[in-house]
Amino acid sequence: MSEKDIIKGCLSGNQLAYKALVETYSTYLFAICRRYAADSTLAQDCLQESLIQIINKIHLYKEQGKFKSWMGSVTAKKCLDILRQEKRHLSSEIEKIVEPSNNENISLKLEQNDVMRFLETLPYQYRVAINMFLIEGYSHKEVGVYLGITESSSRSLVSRARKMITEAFANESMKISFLNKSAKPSEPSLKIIRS
Amino acid sequence: MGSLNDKEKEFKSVLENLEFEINTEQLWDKVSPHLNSKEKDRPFLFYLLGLALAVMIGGGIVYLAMSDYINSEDRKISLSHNSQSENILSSIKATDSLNLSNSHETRNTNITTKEASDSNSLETESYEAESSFTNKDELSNNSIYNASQFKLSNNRNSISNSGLNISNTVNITQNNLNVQTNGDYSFGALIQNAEYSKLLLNSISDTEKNANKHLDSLDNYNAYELQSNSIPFLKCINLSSLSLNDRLNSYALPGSFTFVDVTERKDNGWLPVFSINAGVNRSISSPRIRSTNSDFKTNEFSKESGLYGFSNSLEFGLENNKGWKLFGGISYYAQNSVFKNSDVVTVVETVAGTGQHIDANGIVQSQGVELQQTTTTFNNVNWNRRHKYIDVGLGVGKEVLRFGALGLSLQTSFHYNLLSDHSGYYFDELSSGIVKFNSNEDSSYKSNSGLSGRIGMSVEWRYKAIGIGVSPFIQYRINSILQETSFYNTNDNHLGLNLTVSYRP
Repeated sequence: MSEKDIIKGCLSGNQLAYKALVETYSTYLFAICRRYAADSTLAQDCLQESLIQIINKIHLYKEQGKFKSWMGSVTAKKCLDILRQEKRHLSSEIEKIVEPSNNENISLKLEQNDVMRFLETLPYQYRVAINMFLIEGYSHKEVGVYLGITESSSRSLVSRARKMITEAFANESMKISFLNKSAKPSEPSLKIIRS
Repeated sequence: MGSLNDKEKEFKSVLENLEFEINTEQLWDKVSPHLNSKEKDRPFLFYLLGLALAVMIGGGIVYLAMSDYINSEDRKISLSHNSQSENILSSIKATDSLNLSNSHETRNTNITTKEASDSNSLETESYEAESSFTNKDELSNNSIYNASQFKLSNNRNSISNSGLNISNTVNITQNNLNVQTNGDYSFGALIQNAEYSKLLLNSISDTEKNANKHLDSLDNYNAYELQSNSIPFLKCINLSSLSLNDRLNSYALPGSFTFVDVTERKDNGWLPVFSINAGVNRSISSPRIRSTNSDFKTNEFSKESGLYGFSNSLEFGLENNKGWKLFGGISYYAQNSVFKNSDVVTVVETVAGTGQHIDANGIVQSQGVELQQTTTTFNNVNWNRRHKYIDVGLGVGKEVLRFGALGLSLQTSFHYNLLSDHSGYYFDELSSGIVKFNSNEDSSYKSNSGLSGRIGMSVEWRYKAIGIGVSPFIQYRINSILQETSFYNTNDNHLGLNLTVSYRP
């Protein structure tokens, strides 16, 4: 079923279209969830909630951009919402951060598992900051508002997170295999500026 | 974003190309039950609650009708003869004279036929009645009196009996329980509460009346009253000793006199009251941004304002003569709000374009350049929303001031939202635009917003069993009416002004 058929079918409440959407895009959307969530179980919850949101809100998709990007945006926001709720049960504060080890957790070959393992060791705020700033393209102000910290704190947080990444992968012997893969450039994220 | 070093670029690239295995069948099983079904039932629930409300109102009416059953026969009689009652009353003159004595003995009295000056009403009316009378002491201490002893052989049209003078005019107010007498007036008082029901009878003699003498009492008045075609004997009673908080109901019996009943309130007694409230309200809540994951700016909330809505409620309460009132009921509110925005939105984007360069040899070469594109949009946006709530509530009130028939009460209550319904437009964070939604669609608003509190006051004017008043109030909803995942919060608090009609049976 093509993307157009899936959208049309979902808009008319077709169960087959719903299922096709789940089968077609789950892998892509789970990757986004996995980036935000500290563990696989939470990521699955995020994916499930995101799919429900996407299907129930598909009439809001205006066909002005890529459907996949729209779903990605919905999923990222849903992840942030769920993480915000989860955060209430956690006590991760910046002062309590334990620096991730770059010796024990990361193998010599930097692959997906290595990056994920590194990401999992990061405290909640660092992980969210890296995702929002580095991947999604949010501003420091937006990161700060989401995390409940000032813009300058957000700037400091992101700076430390970037330093962690650099240090974690500083070992020149870590020749990363994924560089051989055809990495796609990220899509530019255009933000509307209102006067 | 500052420039990324190589490691960061590598890291980002890996994250953007993550691949996982997903069991889509299992996932579908979890997702499918939640798709486009849960909100469909909402309108049906509203109809169901509407039906329940109608049943409650109907039940209340039936209850009220039942509470009046005691005197229903007399009321029917009164209505059926209403057209002639004035003339009849003016023409009736008691001719018999029965002297009530203090002796402890029973008298048999024959009620004689009366002649009426109004030929239209009484020229054919005549009756005979047999009745037993006794004096105060026997009546109050003897429980054997029953309907048969008082039953009149005549039916409905007229009444008098020996020794009883009857009038149609009785003016009794709550503040002045002294009955105005003008000639031969007779009065009766029914004192009812949960424990007993008594008919008080008194002499017509002003001297005796003022001295509170000859206050006769008849137990089990209800049993007597329920007899069809039976009309009670009434004599004069001085009501001045009754407390101001007692309730008075007066109504005309067929063609004869005004019957006054007094429902006495005991100090610790609680009596029912029913209220119907209806009025207007206006939202006073201020939305608050929860996150900035959307393009909606905080300052744009100032462009949203509340409109007048309406509210109504049905309440049942219990109140005592100390002025306390406990009440509960069901309420319905409709809140409206509007967003008006006329502004200019400028979007500045950096887009990739192609430029042409002419080199020194005159050769035109194309090369990629970055262009700044500015789009200006003139907005003239109006949208509105409607929020509807059905709450159940419990509360307590206290009458703090009373000037005659006018009373001032303070009230507070807690309400639980059974159901909320929302429709209209809202700013959708997913599409970054204005989206219209209907009440049966899933939206950012909750279908149940939980508890709310209300404080208010009531100014009520009472006339007999009916009270009419106005009740300003402020209602504060503890919880946001929006889902946790929404980008903003609002509690939809509101000010209201209700017109209240209450009935105290």
